[in-house]
Amino acid sequence: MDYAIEIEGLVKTYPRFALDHIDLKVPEGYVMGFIGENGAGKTTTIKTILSLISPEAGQVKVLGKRPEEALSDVGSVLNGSCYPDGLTMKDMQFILSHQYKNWDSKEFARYLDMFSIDTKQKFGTLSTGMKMKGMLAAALSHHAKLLVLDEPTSGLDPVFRDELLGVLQNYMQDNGNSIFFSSHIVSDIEKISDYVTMIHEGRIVFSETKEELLDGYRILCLSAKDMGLANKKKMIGLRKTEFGAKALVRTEDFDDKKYTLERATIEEIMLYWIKKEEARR
Amino acid sequence: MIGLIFKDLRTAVLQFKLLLILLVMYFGYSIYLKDLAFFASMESVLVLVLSMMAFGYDEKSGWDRIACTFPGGRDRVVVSRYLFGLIISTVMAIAHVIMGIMLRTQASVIADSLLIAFSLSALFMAILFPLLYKFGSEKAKLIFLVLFIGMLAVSSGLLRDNESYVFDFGRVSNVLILVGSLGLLAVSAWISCRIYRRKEF
Repeated sequence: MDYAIEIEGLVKTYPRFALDHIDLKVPEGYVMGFIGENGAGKTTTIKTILSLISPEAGQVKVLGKRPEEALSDVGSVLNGSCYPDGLTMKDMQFILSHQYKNWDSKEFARYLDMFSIDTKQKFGTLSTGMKMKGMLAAALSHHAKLLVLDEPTSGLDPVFRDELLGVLQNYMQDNGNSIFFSSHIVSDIEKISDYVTMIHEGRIVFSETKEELLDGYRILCLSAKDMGLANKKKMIGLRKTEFGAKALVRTEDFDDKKYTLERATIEEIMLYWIKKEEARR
Repeated sequence: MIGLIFKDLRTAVLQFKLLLILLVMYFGYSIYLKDLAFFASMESVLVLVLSMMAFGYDEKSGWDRIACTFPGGRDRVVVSRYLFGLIISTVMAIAHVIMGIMLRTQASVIADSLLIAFSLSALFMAILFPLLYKFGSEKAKLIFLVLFIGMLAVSSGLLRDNESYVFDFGRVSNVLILVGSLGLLAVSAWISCRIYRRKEF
């Protein structure tokens, strides 16, 4: 299998945070959602993929090359970075057309038209959603084989978010295109991803296909009476409720005839894992 | 690289009003003083101001993080900024010649003062730009200010001790001054590239 992104043993240390031997593989032609709470290490991982920071140890390959060699085939939208306020999308079209050999002005115009962005309007006067759309339009207009998006839906309303996800789904119609998409809005990840990877405090907690994840975990509902009977060692995070407790469990570990098991959402899986990690400390 | 230079020029034009006010002010005052040297001294200050504004603008918008995801390597980002500085210096040089003609200054005097002003701009850029890449615009401005005051103090001291020192500078051949200043700028660009390659965003 070919991989759009291959990360092995990635280490990056800051005074109060570290990426701790990250292993991650995004198969070509798929969407990987990258989840984790704020400060978990999502942006730092993305920065290494885009060669914005250098790892202390480990290897990062993007489209089979070193990150800096693959940039012409990568479209990116970074959280917190924007085009200069005084520039218009028309200016950006000129700037970007001189950066990418495969720049497609018609495609860029088509996206701007689709997003109803006035090419003469200054970037600083656009709303947060429009800015994000403008940057996404740019990322999509040089026939990139890989899109790397850092919290692209953060701060956007549900309508905008839904529209963006639609655009990404369209992008995936081209065979071989891949997306690496970080977000703490897990419902967005659930809508679009084929694979889901969770990072917590700089370590990968799981990296599985969405189906494996959703089939592999269940929410175990326990009454106060059943609490003592269930094997707590096999529970991933336990939350006490009014009537007993709920815990995340692996589907194969608990017989659904004996216990009440509910299907878990990715958000629940993430929250229970975080709870488990916090309890371990 | 054209795109990156365009970005700097475009953002500089956005500060057009400020630039125009400063230029008119310096023009007016130089005509009032009938002193081309005054305008020449202000040329390098304007180059400095515009360069600092370009760096500050990039920091504010997080542009470097975007620019470093462009293919072709980080050196292009640095070199384009130096070229932007040279373009601004050239624009100032053109204004200098116009000023000289308006003041009916001798051609040789215009040429000499032009070279000194251009060399000074190049020297300022050569010192300032690596500082800006290393420390960011806020810290770099302070460091440069301290260095600038230091250079002023040293040159004033030298002038007091030996008044002919300043004229020695004029005797050096025009070509040497030009080559020297551009050489210094090239070394500075090389240092900045090394700093920028290692920088993390």
